[in-house]
Amino acid sequence: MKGLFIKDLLTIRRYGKIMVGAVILMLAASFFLEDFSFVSAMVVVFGATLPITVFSYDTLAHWDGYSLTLPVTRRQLVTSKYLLGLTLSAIGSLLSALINLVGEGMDENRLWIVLPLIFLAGSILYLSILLPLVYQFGAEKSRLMIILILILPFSIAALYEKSGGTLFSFALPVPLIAAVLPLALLAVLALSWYISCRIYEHKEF
Amino acid sequence: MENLIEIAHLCKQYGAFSLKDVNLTLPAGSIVGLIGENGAGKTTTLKSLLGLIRPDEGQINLMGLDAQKEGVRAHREIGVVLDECCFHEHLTPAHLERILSPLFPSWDPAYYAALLRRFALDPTKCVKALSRGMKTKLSLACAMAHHPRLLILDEATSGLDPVVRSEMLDLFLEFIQDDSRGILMSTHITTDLERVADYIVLLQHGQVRLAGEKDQMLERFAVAQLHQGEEASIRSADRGPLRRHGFGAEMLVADRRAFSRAYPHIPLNRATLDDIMVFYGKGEM
Repeated sequence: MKGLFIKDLLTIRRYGKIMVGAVILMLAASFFLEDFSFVSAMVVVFGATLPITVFSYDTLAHWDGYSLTLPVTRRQLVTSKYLLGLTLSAIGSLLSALINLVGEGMDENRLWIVLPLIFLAGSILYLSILLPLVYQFGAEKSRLMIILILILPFSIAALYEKSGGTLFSFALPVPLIAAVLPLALLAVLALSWYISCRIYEHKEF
Repeated sequence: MENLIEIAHLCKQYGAFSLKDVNLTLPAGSIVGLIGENGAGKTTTLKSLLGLIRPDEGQINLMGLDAQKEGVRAHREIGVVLDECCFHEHLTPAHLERILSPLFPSWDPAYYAALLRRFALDPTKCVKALSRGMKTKLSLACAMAHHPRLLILDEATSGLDPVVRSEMLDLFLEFIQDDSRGILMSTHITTDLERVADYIVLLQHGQVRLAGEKDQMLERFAVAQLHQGEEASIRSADRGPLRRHGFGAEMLVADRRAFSRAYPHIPLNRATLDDIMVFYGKGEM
C-alpha cells in the first residue's frame, strides 16, 4: 500500500500547489482583516476535498484498471484512499489549530483547538459519505451528489429557523457529545469503509 | 514444463456479447498470440485473467495459483502492458519507480535504470511529454523491472511505428530466452506474431475458433485459387471458408498436402495469419 500512498501524494503535490497558493493569499487577507476564522476553516475543507481530486486524476489516467493488475487487493486500494482522506483531514485540522494559535492566540474556551476538532469530525463524516458515493458513481457525479447532500440539512435548518422555530432550545450535553462523538465517528467511518470495499470488490473494469 | 496460464471453460455474459467456453494454455518458455477481430473477446479474456472482471464460469490458473483466490501472489510475478498508457500525466519514470517498487519485492532498480537507458527515456521527464511509442516503452519498462515470469500485453504494440515495434519484439525474444517465462500477447498485427509467437489462438464472437502451433498452422493452411464456379467441384469435406472476387474465388484450405493430392490442378498459396483471420471472419462457410 505504501506505493499507492506515494502515488496519491505525488498527485496531490501537483494539485496542492494551487491550494497552498490560495491558503497563502487567504492568510495574507486574514492578517489585514484580523480574522483568521475563514482561512482556518478553509484549510480543513481543502484537506477533506483533496481525495476526490485524486479520484478524478486516477480516472483520467485510466489508472484504476491498471492498479488491479498490480499485486494489491481491492480492499487495499480502498483502504489506501481512506488513509489518504484521514491523513489530509488531520493535517488540515492541525494547520487550522496552528493558524488559530498564531493568528488569534489561545482563548479560555480553547476554541483554537475545539473548532479544528469539530471541523475534523465534520471532515470524517463528509469522507464517510463521499467515498462510497465515489466508488459507486465515480468522482464527477459524486461531486454533485455531495453538494446536494450538504445543502439539504442546511436548507432545512435555515427554513426552520426562518419560520420562527429554534433549533436548539435545549442545552447541548457537551461532555456527553464529546465522549460519544469519537466512537460514533469511528463506527460511521468503519461502516463507510466496509460499504466501499463491498462496492469496489464487485466492480468490473 | 509448467503451464503459466491455464484458462478452462471461461464464460462471461456482457449484455449482447458473451465469452463461451474459452480454453487457453500458455506453456512456460512460449509466446502465445491471441488474435481476433475487434469485439471478438480478446480484451475480455485478458481482463478475466487479470481479475479486472469476474467470469461467470470457468477456472483460471496463473503459474499454478488460482487467479481469484491468490491474485496478489500471482500478480507479483506478472508484468502487464495495456493498450493505453495508464500513468498520470505529471508522473515521471523516477516517480513510477517510487510508486511501483514497494509493491514488487523483486523490483530491480539497476534493471529498471538499464531499461530506461535502452529506451532512451529520461527519468525526470513527465509522461505528458512522451510520444505514444515512448509511453509504451515506459509501460514495458515498468512491467519488466521486477523480473516477472509472465508478460501480458493487450494491443501493446498497436499504433507504434515499425522501428519501435521491432525493438519491442527483440525485447520479447530476449525475455523468452529464459525457459521459465512466457508471454501472452493480444494483437491485430499478425506479422508480429508470425515473427515471435509459438502458439496462436483465434477468437471469434467470444469463442475459440482455432488454436495451435503457429508454424504448423502456417504450414498446414493454404489459400486455393479457384475459377468461377470451381468450388462446386470440391467435396464438402475438403471445403473451407470462401471469398469471392471478380474473376473467381479464394478458399482457405486446412490441410494443404491432402488438398493438393486430391486437387493437383488447383494452385495453392501460403496462408498468412492475416489470411486465416480474414477467411474465418469474412468467408462464406
